[in-house]
Amino acid sequence: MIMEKIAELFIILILVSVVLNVSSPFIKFAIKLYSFQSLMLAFYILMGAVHFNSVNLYGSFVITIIFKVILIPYFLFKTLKKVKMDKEIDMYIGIPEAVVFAGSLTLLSNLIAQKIVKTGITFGSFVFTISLATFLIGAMLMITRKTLFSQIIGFLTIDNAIFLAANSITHGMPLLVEIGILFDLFVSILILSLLILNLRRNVAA
Amino acid sequence: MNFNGQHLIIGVVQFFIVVILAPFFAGFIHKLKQRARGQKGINIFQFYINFNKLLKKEIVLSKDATFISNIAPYIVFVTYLIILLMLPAFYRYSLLGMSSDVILIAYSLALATFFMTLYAMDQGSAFGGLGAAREWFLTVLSEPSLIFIFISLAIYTKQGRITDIFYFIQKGAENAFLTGSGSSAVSVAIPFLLFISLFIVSISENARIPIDNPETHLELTMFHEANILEASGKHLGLYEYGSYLKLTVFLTVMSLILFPYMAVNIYQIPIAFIIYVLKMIILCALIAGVETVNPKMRVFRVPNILSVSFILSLIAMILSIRRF
Amino acid sequence: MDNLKHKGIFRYFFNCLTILSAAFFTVLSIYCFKSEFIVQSSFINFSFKFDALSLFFVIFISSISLFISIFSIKYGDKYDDKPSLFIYSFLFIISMLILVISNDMLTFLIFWELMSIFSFLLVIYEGSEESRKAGFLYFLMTHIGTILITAAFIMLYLKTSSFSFDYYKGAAGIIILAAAITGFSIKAGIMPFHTWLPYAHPVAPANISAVMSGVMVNMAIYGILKFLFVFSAGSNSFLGIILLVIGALSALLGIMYAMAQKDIKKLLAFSTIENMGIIFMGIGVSYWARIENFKSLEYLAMLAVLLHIINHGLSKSSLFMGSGLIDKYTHTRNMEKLGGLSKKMGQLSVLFLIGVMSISAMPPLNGFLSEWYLYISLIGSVFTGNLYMVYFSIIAIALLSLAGAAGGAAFTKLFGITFLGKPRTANAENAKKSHVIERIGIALPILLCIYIGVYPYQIISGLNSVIFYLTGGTVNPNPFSAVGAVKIHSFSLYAPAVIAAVFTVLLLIILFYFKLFASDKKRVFETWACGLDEKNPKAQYSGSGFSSSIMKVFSSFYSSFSEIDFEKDVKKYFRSKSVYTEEVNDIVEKYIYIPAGKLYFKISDFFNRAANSANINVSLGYLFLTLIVCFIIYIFIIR
Repeated sequence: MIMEKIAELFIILILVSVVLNVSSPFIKFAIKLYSFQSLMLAFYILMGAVHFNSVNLYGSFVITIIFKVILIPYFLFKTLKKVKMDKEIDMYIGIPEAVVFAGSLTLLSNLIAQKIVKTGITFGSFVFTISLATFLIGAMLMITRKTLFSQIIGFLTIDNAIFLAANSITHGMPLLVEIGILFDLFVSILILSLLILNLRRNVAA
Repeated sequence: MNFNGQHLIIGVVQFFIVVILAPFFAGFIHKLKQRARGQKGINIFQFYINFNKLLKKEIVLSKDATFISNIAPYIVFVTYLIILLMLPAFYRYSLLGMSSDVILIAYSLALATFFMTLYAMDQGSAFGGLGAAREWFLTVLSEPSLIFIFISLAIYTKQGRITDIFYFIQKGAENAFLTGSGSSAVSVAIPFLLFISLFIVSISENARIPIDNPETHLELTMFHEANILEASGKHLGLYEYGSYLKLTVFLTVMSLILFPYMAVNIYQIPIAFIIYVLKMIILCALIAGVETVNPKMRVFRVPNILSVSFILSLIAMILSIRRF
Repeated sequence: MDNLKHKGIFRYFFNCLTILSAAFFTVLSIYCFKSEFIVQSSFINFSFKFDALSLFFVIFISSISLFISIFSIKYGDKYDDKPSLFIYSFLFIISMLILVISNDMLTFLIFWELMSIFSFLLVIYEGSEESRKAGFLYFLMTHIGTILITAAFIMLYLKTSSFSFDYYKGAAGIIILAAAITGFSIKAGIMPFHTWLPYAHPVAPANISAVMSGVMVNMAIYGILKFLFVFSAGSNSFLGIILLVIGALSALLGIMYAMAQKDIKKLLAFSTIENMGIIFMGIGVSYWARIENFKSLEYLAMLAVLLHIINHGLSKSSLFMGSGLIDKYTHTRNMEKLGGLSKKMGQLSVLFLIGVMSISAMPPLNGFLSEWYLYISLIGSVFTGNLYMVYFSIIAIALLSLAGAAGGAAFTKLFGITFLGKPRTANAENAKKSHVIERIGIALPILLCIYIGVYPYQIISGLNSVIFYLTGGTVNPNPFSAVGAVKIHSFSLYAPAVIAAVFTVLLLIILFYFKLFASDKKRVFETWACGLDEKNPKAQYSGSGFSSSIMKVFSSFYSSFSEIDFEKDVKKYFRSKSVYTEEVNDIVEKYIYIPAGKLYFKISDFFNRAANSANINVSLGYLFLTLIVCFIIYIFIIR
């Protein structure tokens, strides 16, 4: 019982971190929040692993910690240091409007989730709502922000949301698939970082 | 709701204890903040001494003051007293418990703001109008969050009165954690979200540092203090005491969300009281910590953080409607 | 000399006549309750019926017009040169009184039209360019509304082949309801159709604005209640949700625009839009609950609606009367030119303060009571667990709470800038004291506000018969025992009498305590102005400054424009003169009405050219074409 409540808290913290991400104009804070969000995701997976006693989920937990909590934020910070980007993120709409919009997306995703999913969610009753909301807000981050960096953050948020949804519906994916996905993600982050660096160099020169 | 003599008496006693403790909590926060900055700090009971001193001073009224200046301090003070009369602190029943509707509490806070801002505009001072405009700017942003927090609580517990709300949470938590029954009715996430949301709102409503800085000597940076700049003597004392009461109202609600433990009978009162004071001290330390590590925000960045608080309470409400 | 003697005769005569006929109608409707009668004339029959809803509206209209007539006995003396005002206002009120007791569609439409025409004549009464423009807009909009209402009635006639309301029960389908509600909401000033209201209400004389804002807009609510709760066939609950959302949006936008105004009466007019929105929200919840069969929720929301009609009528009419006094004795309605009126008009300022508190829903006054009932019914509709209503009521709660807080800000601005501080111009400095009869006219509704706010049980049990007529159930008038929300009993209680009593007792205790145990020395001195002795009243905060920070945050609601115009070629920081211009436009007006008008002109221009450039044969051809089209419509649609 308590496990479930705590898992609920972790899932909520994922959503809270995304909302905070929308509300904050600082890139560094956004990367830290992404790291925190991934940590919460990892803990959620750990809860599932303990609950189902599944080796796949344990592996998934370790990989998530290594890649999403440590490596990707590390590379992002490194790139950030190199490009010496502005701390403030440019946006198309104001922050309060964006946050309220994020809230209405959450309402909408709850409505959708209530319509689609009747049963079948195994662990934590509103994981699907939260993952859908995280997905939509991540997409909104990508649309409303101007700099490439924050779009990367939005992309990573979307990835986390899909990961969460997949984990909520299945009892964990096969480890091989997960490693493949994570490597894909990692490579894409590397490529994007290179892209940013090169863009910066070319534009600055 | 039964009228019980014991409830009434303990409700009154509770009210007086909380009212008397209010300046202590404010002074405690102040002391902690000063210690954290490396200063020696004031006496913890300094605010009592200040209040006593203010009562002995004469009032300087502006030439332009009208009847508003004479009644507003009293109305503001009494409004906070009324709200404290409704709140349970460490005993399950409060004196006005049967009419302690959450929306009434939220609107009563607006009533106090209304009179305080009218007071500010009464003397025709430039700072007063500025303070009033800023106070309403904050209230317009934080009032929806506050009402949403309260209504989330009401929907979560299916109770409308604040005494019943917290009693329901307490009962549910007791059942779930001690006996393990009825655990589906209890949530950790909802109180957590509401706590964070209310924390943000109470920082903005109580003129605390990331949003307001009442300690500067520059009137242009003030929100709350600019409203009462013209007050003096017992009027100032009432306003100051009123602000401690407001802080206590918010801290009490936060403490009850954090850990609802209220005495249901007379024998539990000592331990409930001790727990209440402990919770309040922890919250005071939390507020002092936030005030110490944060710099003051730009005014137009305040909507960002208050909108986050609004959305957190919205998420809490979504979670609670999923439960039925 | 002789002329002067008879100057006020129209004023006295028609105001007394209004008072008498109001009393007559009240007595008549109470005496003839539940009876009906028909007045036959050579070509048309007027039939009337006194049911609970009519009784409620008759008492409502006649009591508020009573207060306004008492007020205008003295206030009207500035209009003695053109006494047509009094005749029109008498006929205006009479047509409203007959409107609510009419029992067939022809009577209803005739008196609806008479009401519109007399109010139009009153809007253009002052004859200025502004009032003629506003009057034209009002005339246009209100007739679009009348067309829709007439269409709804004609459809009802086609369905039931009867003129009498008795046969319309349960006959109105969704199309008829939609047409009628759109038509009535133009009159009520609900958000997309509100554009006429902020122009028309301020330009009329203050006593007429009070009638229009406090009473006339509620005639639209009467029509909607009649259609939704009496005529409706009861099929689609989504209509209720639409009403709820539209109401919530106009509540929020109305008060947001009210905050931006400088003109006192314009601020009050926008606040009318807000309150109509709140009433619409209640109607939406009630209608939704009626269709979805949540009985107690329906009754509760209906109570909120009826109570809010009363509360808004009382406080808004008194505030409009107060603004009329300000206008009369200072010759300006612009807040930026006022200030410090509290010292010149002490009693008026107390009355105005209570009115402002009532309309911005401050407990323990009546405005809060009806808003509280609305909140409770919204929470109740969350508890129903209906998939859509839950979300829409959450959105409605959010918008309503924002509107409530913004209402506090807007009315603090109104009271603070107008009555407090130093006088900003000579207009405010030379304000005279108002006459006692004028103040009595304002004081009566204010006293009722306090009474309803503090002790509402009697009025709620009175309203129960109306609620029973409309919904078939009643609400427990005593909040001590139970306010039955959905699913759970005694969800929440608000005992206004207890709160008010405790408040008063505590206030007295504190006052005496501080009188006895604190220093009672007082010194009157100048307001501190940073040590400067410059006595410039312009240094006070201005009204637009007061609302600018809130407007900046909610800038997406406004299409505002502001610029600072400095004199050229002067030092950067020490300018001798700078001009600040600010313009707040209505987004609905800017993005819907003005483009629509342009489109209309384009189309009519096109037709104009097409028709005028042609020769006689083409014109004949148009006539022929029209005839054919009429035949086709007759054959295929009507038959």
